[in-house]
Amino acid sequence: MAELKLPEWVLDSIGAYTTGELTTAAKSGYPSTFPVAVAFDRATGQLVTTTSAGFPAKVSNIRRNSRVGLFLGYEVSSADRGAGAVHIQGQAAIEDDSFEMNLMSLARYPSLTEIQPGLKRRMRNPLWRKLYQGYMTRIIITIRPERVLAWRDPKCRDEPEVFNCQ
Amino acid sequence: MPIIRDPSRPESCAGPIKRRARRILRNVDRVVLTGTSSDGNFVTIPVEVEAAGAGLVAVRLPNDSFPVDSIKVCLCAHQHGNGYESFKQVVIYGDAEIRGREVRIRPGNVLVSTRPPGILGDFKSGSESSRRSKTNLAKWGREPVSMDLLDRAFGTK
Repeated sequence: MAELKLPEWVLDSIGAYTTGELTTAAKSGYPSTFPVAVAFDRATGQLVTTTSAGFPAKVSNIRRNSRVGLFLGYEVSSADRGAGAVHIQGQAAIEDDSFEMNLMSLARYPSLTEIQPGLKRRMRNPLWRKLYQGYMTRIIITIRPERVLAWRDPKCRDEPEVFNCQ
Repeated sequence: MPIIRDPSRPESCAGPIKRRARRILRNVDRVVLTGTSSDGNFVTIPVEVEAAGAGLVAVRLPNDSFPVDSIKVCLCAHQHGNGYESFKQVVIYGDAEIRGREVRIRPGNVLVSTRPPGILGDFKSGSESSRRSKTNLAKWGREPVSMDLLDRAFGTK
């Protein structure tokens, strides 16, 4: 895996957002879009998100059809401001061989684990840890971009610039 | 822009949007529409909700470029408070008719989920996720992440 060959402003835009809208192909044939917390691993050119073992619909969809879309342009935190909007078309892969390894590897992506401000504090309490055992049993989804549509305007009022990543 | 029609559209997908979902749809700060282009790739774009009725949602595209090739679309409306501390979201699967920048969606399935802020939201997420995880993991013959690892990762050991 290598860094994506994209203009700097596009890479900056991809890295600027902590929340995206992930689309997978539902069994019914409809696209299925849900907001997700996302991290951009610039060194490998991959985007990473997770889902709980309790809500595996995205995982089932990706196992059937690995083609996904990820839109980045929603400003949740102040850190998100100032970027353009990006729509990524690519292939997703599922990592669920070891939930323990998944939890440990998530330490590399603080934006995924620290996105709920109160949660880390509550997890110091053993009762909350017991309650969150299922929630913390995470399945990792990695996305390899193939094509990127980028807007300098985060509201997408202009036409997108299109970039192939392969 | 031509009106997109799909003869394979299932008739059984039509269904009303309940009042609670319509209220969320009108009030959230983020709504995106996703379709599928002729090469099979997904195309998502932020939209503005112009009208949200029980049997029809009208949204407006921000530009003239929404190259979808199927009437099957997904409308995702959501708002997050303070990261993911709280959220409300509505996801509508429906059939679209596109005229220029105007898109009319006849809803099929509608999913609504909310999470209140603070300790109540954390409790709701934790208990619901644990219950569902336990069921799925048992089905898959898998074990959840160990308490020992959670203690080491988050506790004071």
